[in-house]
Amino acid sequence: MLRTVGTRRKLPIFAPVIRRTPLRRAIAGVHPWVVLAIGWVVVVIYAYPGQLTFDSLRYFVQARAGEYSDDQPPAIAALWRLLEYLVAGPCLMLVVQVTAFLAGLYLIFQRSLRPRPAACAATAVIVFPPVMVTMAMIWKDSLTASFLALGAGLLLSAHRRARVAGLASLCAASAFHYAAPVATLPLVVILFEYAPCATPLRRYAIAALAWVAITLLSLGLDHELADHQVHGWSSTVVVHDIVGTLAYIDEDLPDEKLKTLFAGTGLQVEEEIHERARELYNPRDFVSTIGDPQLAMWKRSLTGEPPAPHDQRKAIEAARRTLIHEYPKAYLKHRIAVFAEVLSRGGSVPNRVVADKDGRQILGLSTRNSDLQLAVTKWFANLDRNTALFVPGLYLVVSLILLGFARREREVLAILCSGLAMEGAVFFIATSRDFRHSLWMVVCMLVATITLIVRRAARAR
Amino acid sequence: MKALHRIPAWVSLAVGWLGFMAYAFPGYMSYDSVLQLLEARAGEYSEGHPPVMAATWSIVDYVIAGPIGMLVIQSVCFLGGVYLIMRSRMSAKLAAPLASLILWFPIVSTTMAVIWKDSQMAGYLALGTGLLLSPRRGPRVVGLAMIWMATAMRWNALAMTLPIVTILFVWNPAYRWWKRYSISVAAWLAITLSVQVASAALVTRNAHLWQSGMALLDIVGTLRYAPDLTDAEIKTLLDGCPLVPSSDLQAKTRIPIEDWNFAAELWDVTNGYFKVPSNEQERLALSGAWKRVVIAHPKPYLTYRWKIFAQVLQLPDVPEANRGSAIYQWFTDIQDPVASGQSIEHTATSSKLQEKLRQLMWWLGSTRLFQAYIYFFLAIALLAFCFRDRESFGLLMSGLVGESALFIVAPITDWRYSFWLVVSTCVALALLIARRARPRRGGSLAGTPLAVYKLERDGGACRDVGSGGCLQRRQGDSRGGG
Repeated sequence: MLRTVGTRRKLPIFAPVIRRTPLRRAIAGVHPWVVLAIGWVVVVIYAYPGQLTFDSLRYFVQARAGEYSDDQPPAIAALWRLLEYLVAGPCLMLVVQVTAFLAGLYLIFQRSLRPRPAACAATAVIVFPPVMVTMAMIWKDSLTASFLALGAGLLLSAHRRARVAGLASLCAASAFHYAAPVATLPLVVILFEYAPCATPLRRYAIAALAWVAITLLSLGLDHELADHQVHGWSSTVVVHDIVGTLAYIDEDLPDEKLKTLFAGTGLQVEEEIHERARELYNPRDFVSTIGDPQLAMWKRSLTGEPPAPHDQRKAIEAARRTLIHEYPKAYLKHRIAVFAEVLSRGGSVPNRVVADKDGRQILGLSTRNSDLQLAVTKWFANLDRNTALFVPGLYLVVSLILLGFARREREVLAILCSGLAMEGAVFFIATSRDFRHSLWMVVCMLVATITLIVRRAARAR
Repeated sequence: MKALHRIPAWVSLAVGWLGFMAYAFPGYMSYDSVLQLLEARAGEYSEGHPPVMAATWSIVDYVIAGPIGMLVIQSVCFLGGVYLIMRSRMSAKLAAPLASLILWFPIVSTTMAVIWKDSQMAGYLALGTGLLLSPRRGPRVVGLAMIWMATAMRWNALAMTLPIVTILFVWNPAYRWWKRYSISVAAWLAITLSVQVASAALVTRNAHLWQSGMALLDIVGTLRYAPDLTDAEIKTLLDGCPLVPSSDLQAKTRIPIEDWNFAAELWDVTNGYFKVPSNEQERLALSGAWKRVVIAHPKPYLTYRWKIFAQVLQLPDVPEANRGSAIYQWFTDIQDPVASGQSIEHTATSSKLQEKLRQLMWWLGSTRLFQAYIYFFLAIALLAFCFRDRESFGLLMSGLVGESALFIVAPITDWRYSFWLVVSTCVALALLIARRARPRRGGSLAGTPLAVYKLERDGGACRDVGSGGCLQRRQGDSRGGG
C-alpha cells in the first residue's frame, strides 16, 4: 500500500478476535476482491434495480428528455442520461454509486489496514442497515456520499494522478449536491497534497486553491447544464423559513405590517396572515406550507415548476432576509426545530413497495420487488422502530465525541469534519426530516470509529 | 495475439460478459418465458415446460424479481463453460477472449439473451462439459451435477447429454476402457432417470401435453402421406377420438401446404381436425389411435417427419416476401406486450446502445448466418477431423444427436431448437483449429483427465498438461478412486 501522509504500520484489524478461532482459517484464504464482491452483490441484490422516489423520478424524466432544470443538481440527470445510453433505467446508476462508494471505503481503510481486513471493514460499512437502505435509493445524497468516499480514498494515494482523480471525484460530488462543497472543504484542505515535500503554508494554500477551483467548476457545470432555472430555493427553503420564523415570533404581527413586508411576493392570504403562518408551519416537512393550494400563503409547486416571475422571487427572498434580520431568535428557533426533526427517529426506511407503478410502467421500468427485498426491508423497518440505529442524532453525538480523539489523526479528523460540515449545512437548508440528509455524517462516523479503534489497538500492542 | 496475452483472462471474460449484457439486459421474454415465470411465482408446475426450470426460477425470483437472475445464471454458466472447454486446448489468456467471442457470436448471443429452456440448457451443458474435462475428480462430479440441471431443462436434453457423459466423463483414468465406459453410461442413466423422477415429482398440474399436441399432429401428418383410405377405415383407426370433420377424412389432411411453412400449416389442419381431448377416455382413445396409425404406416410417418425436420434445418427455400428475422428480442411476450408485462409486473425499455445492437442483430437474423443446415452439415464434416480427439468428437456428437432427436420430437420449427447444435459446432471448430495450430505434448487429449494419466504413466511433466492438471492432484485423485 502506498502512503503519503505519515507512516503507519498496517494491522490485521480482526486479528485479536479471530486468532484463536476456526474463523481465522476461513477468512485467511479469502481474497480481498472476493470480500468486496460479496458486499457489492449483497447491496445490489437488495437494491436492484435501484429504488426510485419522487425526487429520483424527477432526475430520470429530465435525463430521458435531455432537458435539465436547476430544482435538483442537473449534473445527476446529465450523468444518468450518459449511463442510460448503455443501460436503460436506474440499474447503472445504482452500480456506479455502489461501486464508487465501496471502492472509496476500501481505499480509505487501506490506510490503516491490510487489504483483506480493509475489504471486510468496507463491506461492513456498506451493509450497515442505515447505510445500505440509503445506498439502495437513486438519490443525490447517496451519489454524493459515493463520490465523496471515492474522492477521500483517492486523495490518500501516494500517486499524484490518483490524488488529482480524487479531486475530480470530489468535484463530481459537489456537482451532485448543492451542499457538498462544505463537505469537500475539510477533505481537500486537510488531505490534498500536490507535492509531498512542500512546506505546510504552501501545501495548504495549494489545497485551498484546489478546493476553490473544484467548487467553482462544479457550480459552473451545474449552471451550464441547467436549461432553465426554476429557482427551487425560493419555493422551498425560503417559504419554509418565512413561515417558520413567523411561527416562532412571540407577538402577533399586524396584517398591515406583513402585507407591506410581503408586497410583490404574490401573497394569497388577505387576513390573519400571521395566524395562517402558525397553522401551516410544520418543522417536519415544508410541504404543509405549499401543499394545499387553498390554504397556502403562496402558490408554489413542489418542483418549482412553473418558476415564479423574477420580481416576485426577488421580493420573497428580500422578505425572508428582512424577517431573519428583525427576528433572528425566531429564525434560529425554527431552524433548531427543523434540525431536531432531522436528528430524530422516523421516516427513515423508505417504503420499498413501489408506489407509482403506473408511472414506472410508462417509463419502462420494472415494478416488482422480490420477496427477499421485501423481507429485508421489513426487517430494516423493525430496526428503525425498535433500535436507535436510524437516529441521526446519535451519530452526531458520537462524531463530536470522536473529534476529541482524532486531534492527531489527520485522515480521521478530515473525514469527521467533512461529515459534521455536511450535517451543519443541513441545519440551514433542511426542509424535511429525511434520514438521507445525514448519510454522509453517518458514513464518516463509522469510518472514523473503525479507523480510531484499529490504530489505538495497534498502539496498545 | 501478443496484445491478447497481456490482458488477464478474467478481464477478457468480464468484458465479454458485460458486452453481452449490454445487448441482453435485463433479459428478453417470450410467451414461454412469461408462462414459466407465472408458474414459478404461483408454485404450480405443469409438464408443459420442464418444472425444474420453473422451480429454479421461483428461487431466483425470490432473490431478484424478473428475468435478470436467470439471465445472469445462463450467461455466466455458458461463458464459464466455454472458457473451461477452451482451456483444455489453449492458455487461459487465449481461451478467455475466445470464449467471449463465442458468446458474442450473433447466433449465440441472440438466443442466450432470451430466458428460454434452450438457453438455460445450453448454459448448464457448456459448464458441465467444461467441468468434465477437469483433471480433478471434484470438478468432474460437479460437472455431472451441471449435466443433471441441463437434462432437467429440456425434455429432449437427454439426447445431447448422452455423448457428452459417455465420451467425456472419466471417473478414474486408470481404469480400462470397458470399465470407464460402463461407469459413464451408468452415470448418464442415473442422471436421466433421476431427472425424470424429480420432474414428475414437481409437476402439480398434468396438462397431458402429448395427447393434446404431438399425438394429434403425428396422426394427421401420417394420414396425409398414407395410402388412400376410406372414411370408414379412418373412423376405425380413430375410434373414440374427438374428431371435428365427419366426411372426407383423408382429403381434409391433404390440403396443399408449402414446404417452407409445413409445420405451421399442418398445425392449422390438425387444429381443425381434432378437438382437444377433454377426458381420460378420449386421451386413451387417442393413444390407441396413434399406435394404430403410426405403427401401421411407418413410411408415411417418416415422410411427414422429414418434412418437419427439413424445416427445422431450414432446408426449404423461403420466398423472398415471407423471409423474416430469426431473432426474438422483446422484453415481454410480443403477442401481447402490455398484458404480459402487467401480469409479471415487469416492463423494460432498451437503451440507445441496446437499440442499435438489436437492429444489427435483427438484420443478421435475416441472413444465411442463421441457417441451421449450415451448422448441421459442418458438424458432420468436422467429424472427419476428430480422429483421436475426444472433446471435439463428444461435442459434435452431442450437437448432432440432439438435432437428430428433433426428427422425432420437434412439434414446431423454432430456430432455438438447433441452438445446441450451433454452439457445439462452433466450440468444436475452435478446438480443432487450436489443436491443428498448436499440437501439444499429450496429443489430442491434452488437458483431459486421460492426458494427465498418460503423462504420468509415461513420465511426462506436469507443465505440459494444458488445463493446469497437476500430477500431484491426479495422484490423489487416483488414490481416491481406489
